[in-house]
Amino acid sequence: MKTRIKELRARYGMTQEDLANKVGVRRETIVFLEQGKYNPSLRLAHDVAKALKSRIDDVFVF
Amino acid sequence: MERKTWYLLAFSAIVFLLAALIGFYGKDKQENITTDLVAIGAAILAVTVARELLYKGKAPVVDERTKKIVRFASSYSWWLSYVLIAILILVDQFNLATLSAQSVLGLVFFFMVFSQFALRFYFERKGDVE
Repeated sequence: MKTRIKELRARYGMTQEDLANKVGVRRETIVFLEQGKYNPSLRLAHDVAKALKSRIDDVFVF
Repeated sequence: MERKTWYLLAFSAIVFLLAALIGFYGKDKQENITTDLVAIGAAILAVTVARELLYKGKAPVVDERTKKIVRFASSYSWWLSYVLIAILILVDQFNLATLSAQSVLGLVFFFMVFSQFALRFYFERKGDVE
């Protein structure tokens, strides 16, 4: 699964740590999400999309 | 330090105290128990101190990914241990080796702990369990 987290994060000037703190996960989880190695739960996908002011299907590309 | 760290330190202290009491007041046959308790106490203390130093007083954040990894690692570890026990039964049935109850228990005990940690480490590096 591809994601646009890195791109959107850069747009809002957020670090991986910032995003991790905002959605309540470890920084490593954000790293694996960006690399497309981790399939998040719907809840986490929603939280990440919300933190990046986007819709889920704009952030996660299936 | 977080509360969990204090609890673990207190628990290791109790284990050491128990080992000392058994060492002083126990019978000769209980020498092994003292050694085992000292080893358990030392292991708990070492892991607690290493964890504290690694996270510098901050609690490691547990999230859905780490919880998922722990669940899957435990599950796979249980199945691997089941396979190990099946192999040991076959070894015993065909008299391929002489197995004592103590050696089998020890082997299964360490295998369960080691395989769970190894699988957790592997999945942590991989990122996910699938």
